[in-house]
Amino acid sequence: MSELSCPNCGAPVPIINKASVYAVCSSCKTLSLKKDVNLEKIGTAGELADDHSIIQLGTQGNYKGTPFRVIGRIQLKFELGFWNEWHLMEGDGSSAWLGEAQGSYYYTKLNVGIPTDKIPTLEGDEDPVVIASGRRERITPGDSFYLGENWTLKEIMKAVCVGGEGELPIGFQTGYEAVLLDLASEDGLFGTLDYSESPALLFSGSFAPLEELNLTGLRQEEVAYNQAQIPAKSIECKGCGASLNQFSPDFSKSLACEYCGSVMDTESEDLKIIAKFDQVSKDNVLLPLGTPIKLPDFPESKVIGVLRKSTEVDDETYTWTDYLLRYKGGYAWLNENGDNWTYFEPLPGVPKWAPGLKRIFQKRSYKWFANADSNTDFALGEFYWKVSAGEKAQIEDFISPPYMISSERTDKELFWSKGTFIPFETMKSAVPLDTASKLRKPEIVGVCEPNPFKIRLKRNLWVASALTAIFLAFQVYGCIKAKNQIVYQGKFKYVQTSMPNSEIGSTNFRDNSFVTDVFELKGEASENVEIQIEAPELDNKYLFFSAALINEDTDTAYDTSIETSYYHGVDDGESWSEGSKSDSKSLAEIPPGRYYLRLESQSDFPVGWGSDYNVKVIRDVMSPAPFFLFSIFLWLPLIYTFFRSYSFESKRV
Amino acid sequence: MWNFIKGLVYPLFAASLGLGFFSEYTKGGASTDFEEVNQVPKTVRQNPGIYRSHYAWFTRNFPGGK
Repeated sequence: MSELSCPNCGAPVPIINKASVYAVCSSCKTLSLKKDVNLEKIGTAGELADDHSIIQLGTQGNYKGTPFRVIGRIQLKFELGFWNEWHLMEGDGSSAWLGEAQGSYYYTKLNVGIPTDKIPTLEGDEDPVVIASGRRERITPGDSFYLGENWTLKEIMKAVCVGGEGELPIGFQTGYEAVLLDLASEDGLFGTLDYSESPALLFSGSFAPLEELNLTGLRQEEVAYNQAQIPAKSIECKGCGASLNQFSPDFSKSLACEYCGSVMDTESEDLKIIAKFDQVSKDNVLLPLGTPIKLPDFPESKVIGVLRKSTEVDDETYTWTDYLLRYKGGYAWLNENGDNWTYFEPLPGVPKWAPGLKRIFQKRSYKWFANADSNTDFALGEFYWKVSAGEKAQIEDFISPPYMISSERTDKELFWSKGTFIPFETMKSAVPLDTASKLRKPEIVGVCEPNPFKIRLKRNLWVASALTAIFLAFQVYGCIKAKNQIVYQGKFKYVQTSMPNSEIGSTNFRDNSFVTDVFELKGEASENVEIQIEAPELDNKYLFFSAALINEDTDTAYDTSIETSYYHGVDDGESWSEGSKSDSKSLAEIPPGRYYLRLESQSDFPVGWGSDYNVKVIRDVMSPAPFFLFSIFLWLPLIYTFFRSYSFESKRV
Repeated sequence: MWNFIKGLVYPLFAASLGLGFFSEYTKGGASTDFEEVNQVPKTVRQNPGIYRSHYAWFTRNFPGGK
């Protein structure tokens, strides 16, 4: 480390990094250019505003294994407030930058690999035209650039340099205005095209969550992680004189009066009115300003602003309410739409496109849901930007319940956020009792409400598939294992001896019962027996048999019935048939032994007429019927669940 | 709680079908719609009409012939 003297006041100006070319004297704010071992005065740095930053010169950290130390800063002022670019010296002496805005941090380095002729030039400040590869195009957020990487333009902003401190690799002028283009890649990279120099400088890196920076030596540890609450302020409305609370003075930039709709710039000392909403209504504002929110898995927060938005689709107006939540170290949104609640967090980067109109974010695929133009009808409370009446944006939603990602595009900014569906009961328990009692149970399906039928369908599908596979395995094994042993077969002839339609046992019925020869059933007592009867010549007639399998030794009978019935014909030119010329019955668990079959038959043949038929007795048979029967029953409820799931999806609003 | 109970309906249904299938499987998938009758007359071999096995139509009797 070398220590030079300030050319203005002579105070010592330490230079830690050899790469530093500029330095700001901490005593007199003189900006000097380093020349050999001396400093040459080139200007004066303005007074830095107290922006409640937690970082200071000397703060150290470690990001993704790279240690760094904060050695300088440039402070800029833009639409949302102050933005710091902290100059870092890494462990190997190289320079890096830590951008800090609205509690978000971006770790970037100057990208020197891009040929200067490829970097787009800019014409105009307010409505910039980019000239790239010889083409002049007006740019809007969402446009893409290729600069060694596919970048998407997230925000166009104009910043004013407030001042600087410490040592820096680049110079600056207080009050200098620069256009900055914030870029994000689908791979989660972050970039800034800084037009304060020509050609513009591209800084690229990534969004760095505060906890991943491992910072030490912070400015007041208790403030550092927002442990100390900045007290609310009482403000008198410049429009109607009402007394208003500003809950988060360190964060908000504008405040909309809940009584008269006047919007005041809270950054200006005199609270000048910057906009006015014609209509202000607290109807259907379910979470009043100041309501504490304690949602599980999210930081405790407080409602500080309310936006009522609307869109028109097919001449119908749909409205919803966005509640701005402020918590220690950040902000979020709670969206209420048709009494359904969704918690939205800002999303760094731009989610990737995937085939089928899908977006992928953090390895999760989101399906396109809707896009619409949104209009801000009115606002209450405070906001981190200068809210104005009639703000319009294009919104596009992609869903993957219980999550959704949503983009909101204005002329200046493309803002991505990630939403999480909050069940009604969870929402009720997250707010004070008096507020909870006013919440209404939703009657419609939420945009990213999890589909209970889909979850159930997926699980039931697994259960049904697994059981069907098990059934099939058992069935195949059972078929292989079955002996299928024919123990008796005989050929008989039926001849009608009774008058037509005589019932068995009635007085007109002429008994034709007979018994077969004795046959032996071997094997286990658990094995079954199948009796098959086939009448191949049966034609438009039936043959009904009362059958009894009788054990000769134990005098035990197993009674059943077998019916062969085959009819066919032609009706209105259409041929038809029903029944079958054969039938069988399986008798379970027939003990081994000597058996004979007693058969008694009945038919609709005329007297003297009849038909041949064959009888077969088979030991140990595996029937396919249970497999098909149980499998069908297993899948039937899934059809019902599928339709319920489909119906639920079609009701998403 | 109610959703949890509703979520159990199908697994219980599937489990009952599984048990039913296994029960049928052990019997070779044989239907059990037969009636077991003990002490059938010894003379059925000589006189089949003595035993009426009019399954599911009439009460069984042993009238002793035609």
